[in-house]
Amino acid sequence: MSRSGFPAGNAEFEAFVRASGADLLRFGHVLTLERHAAEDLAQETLIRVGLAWPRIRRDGNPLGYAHRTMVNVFLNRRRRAVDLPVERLPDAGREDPSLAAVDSAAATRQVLAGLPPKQRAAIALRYFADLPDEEIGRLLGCTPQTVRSQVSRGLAALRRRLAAER
Amino acid sequence: MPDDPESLLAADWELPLTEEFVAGVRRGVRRRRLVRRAAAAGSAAVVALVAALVLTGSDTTTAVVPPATAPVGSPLGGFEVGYVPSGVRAETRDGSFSCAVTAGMRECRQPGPGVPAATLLQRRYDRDSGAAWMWITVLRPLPVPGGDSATMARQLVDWLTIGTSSVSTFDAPAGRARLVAARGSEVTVYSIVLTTADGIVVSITGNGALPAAELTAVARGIRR
Repeated sequence: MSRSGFPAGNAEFEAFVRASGADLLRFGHVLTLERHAAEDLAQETLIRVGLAWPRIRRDGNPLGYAHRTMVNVFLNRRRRAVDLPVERLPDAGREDPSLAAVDSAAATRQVLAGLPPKQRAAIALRYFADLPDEEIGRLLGCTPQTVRSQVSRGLAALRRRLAAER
Repeated sequence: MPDDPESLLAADWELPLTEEFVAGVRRGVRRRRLVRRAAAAGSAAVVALVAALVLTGSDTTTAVVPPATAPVGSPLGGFEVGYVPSGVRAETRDGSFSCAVTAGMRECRQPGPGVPAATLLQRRYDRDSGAAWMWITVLRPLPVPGGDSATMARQLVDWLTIGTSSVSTFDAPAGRARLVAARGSEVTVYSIVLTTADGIVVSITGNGALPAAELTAVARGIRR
């Protein structure tokens, strides 16, 4: 066993976890919109990456592999689960200017929560994982044109909602 | 108003990378390697031992008898929760929602005026480690004039069991319960949908690590 606590020879994996963990937690947060679920998703993703680490290391793009794994785990779980709402979001304050940032954040979450999981994943992959549309399409099983259309519709919904907030 | 996507999506998505999180990854990788090695060794005894040590509580058939104790926490939507698995605690705040109820519904939509709806009260239970673990949701139909709760209860149950297969049914103190399974390539997630005589639906669902026997014990512990 290495000093890190990971199995011997996996110091590189530990370094990867520490270097990319925050990024994956953030990405998972955008997908799930819920802290505990994001932590659960990121942990499951990193465990799978850890199990396949020798191969992934050879391929040279572990973060890309982790993003793909996370999206697959997220979509598979969503397919299995009924879309019960999990959190009541706060009503938007309209008079206190100091709450504007909070309102925008809540509105963003509400709009993202209202999107189908694939559409939300497309937005997350485009803007939080910086993947090109072709790669997003391969991941989500659709064409790049569909990716662009899904992202565009999602952002339009967000713009409408934020405009209504103001 | 900002128009670029980065500004539109500017919410606080950052979560701290804690030592506990890193330790969880470490444990998870180690445990699954153990399981894989045990399975590869082909020894049933080794598999059983590792499974017992590592995946404690994953048996879906072993009955868990809820202890006769005081209710765990405050009532949820008029129901006492008499048993929860060891090591989980309820979130301090319950969720509350309203959904339009229709035949073939696939998601929770805000009900409009004059539309049959249901109120949902939901309590989340987390493990001590912080991982989300179990949810109990009480769905109470609010029929419009001329509607009936029984039909709405069936529609709610249909919604809750989309994509699952039925495992068993049993009578619980609060009503008739159905254990269902959503089988994935690696994980099977169990849920229980309980319907009371007056059409209230209680959903109990866990994450992939919560065994069916524990969910069944939770269902048997729910009383009015």
